[in-house]
Amino acid sequence: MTIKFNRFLLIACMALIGLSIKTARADEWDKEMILKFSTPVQVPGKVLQPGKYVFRLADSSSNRNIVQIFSVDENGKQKFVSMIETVPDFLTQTPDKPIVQFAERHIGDPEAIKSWFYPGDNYGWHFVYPKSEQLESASLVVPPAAPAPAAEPALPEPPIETAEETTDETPVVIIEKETFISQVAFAPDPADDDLPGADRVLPETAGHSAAFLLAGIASIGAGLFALSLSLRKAQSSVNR
Amino acid sequence: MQKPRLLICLGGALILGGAAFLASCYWMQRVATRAQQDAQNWLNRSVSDRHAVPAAPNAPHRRLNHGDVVGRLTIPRLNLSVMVFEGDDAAILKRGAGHIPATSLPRENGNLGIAAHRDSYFRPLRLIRPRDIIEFTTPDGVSRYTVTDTEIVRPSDVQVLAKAPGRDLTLVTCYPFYYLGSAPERWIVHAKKVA
Repeated sequence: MTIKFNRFLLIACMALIGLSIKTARADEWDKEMILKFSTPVQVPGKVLQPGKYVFRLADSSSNRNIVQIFSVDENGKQKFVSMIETVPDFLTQTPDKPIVQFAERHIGDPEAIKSWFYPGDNYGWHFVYPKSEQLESASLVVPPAAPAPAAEPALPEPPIETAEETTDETPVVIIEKETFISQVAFAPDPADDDLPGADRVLPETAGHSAAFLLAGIASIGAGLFALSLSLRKAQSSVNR
Repeated sequence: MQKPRLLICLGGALILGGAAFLASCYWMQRVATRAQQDAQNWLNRSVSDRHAVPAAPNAPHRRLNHGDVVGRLTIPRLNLSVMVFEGDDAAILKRGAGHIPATSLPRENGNLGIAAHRDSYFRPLRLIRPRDIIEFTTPDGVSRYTVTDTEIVRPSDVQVLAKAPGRDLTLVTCYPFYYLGSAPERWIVHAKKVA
């Protein structure tokens, strides 16, 4: 009994240790970065409006080139925006700060994100655009600065860099690191006051057929077990 | 001798109870299948009637009462096809999908809200992807939508049903998909009209 208990304790401890390691290394694993854009920027297949976005790698050990993008609203809630297959990119000098590279576009078009790099990694992620969205030649390394808005004083001090050659067309990017809230929600248009059924909640769509099915199977199983037990007891009393 | 008798009684009661649960499951399934079939037949008849005698452009649309058939929702990639009834209470959602009252109707401009159970009709929604095509067939015709995004919200976040540009259809079901009892969140699929 003691051995069994010790084994159980050991397994539980190992699970707890594994869980804490995973939590501690979550950022390293998914390369999570928060980017703030002051002007619209383009990613393959989508134009991101000015605002705050989370870039991170999909939780897949077989493919480390899938980048997920989430928008972050004022309450810190995330909303899935896009999932993009990228190709690896490389920097000769290991960056000590997050780097986002932009590619030039026609005047009036939003700047396109070409690559992004996580601090401490030479390898980054290069966005591949379809031919219709082909990038133009030169690219700019733009980790520029902008003062954090007053509405978000609680955020940890972000590593802010100022680009020396920032032009008017270049989007201002602030790269931040913070803890995320996993809840996601849509931020409604403030002008929209026509919320249907604002006094109610979304419909209850759980359904109980699965619970009924499981309860039925479990109940029949328990009944059969009780019957077999009674038969065994009856047999043993007859043998005696 | 007393104990085996008690066990026999207990076993018998449990088996009977289990059988009752399974029978109610079967009955619910049967009722739903019947309602879906009836609604499908009604829609087919209405569509063929409309083809035979086209409605005048300014003809008034039929008024929908609780439990009326609204139309058929189809997502071809997911092999999902379900009849939609007016209302979103438990009785309606046992029969099929429900049109959430106070949201728009297919013929109107606005956000059409549809809800269904996550463990039956809307189970395939867990596999939905942006750009999937959703079709909504009514006696007036077929509307096509393309999925723009999905999100997970709290049951109180009714603003997902609000009118917004590029948001013409919102599907609602419970989340997580595999969960016993009332799920704590809602899985939302947004789509915009393409035709």
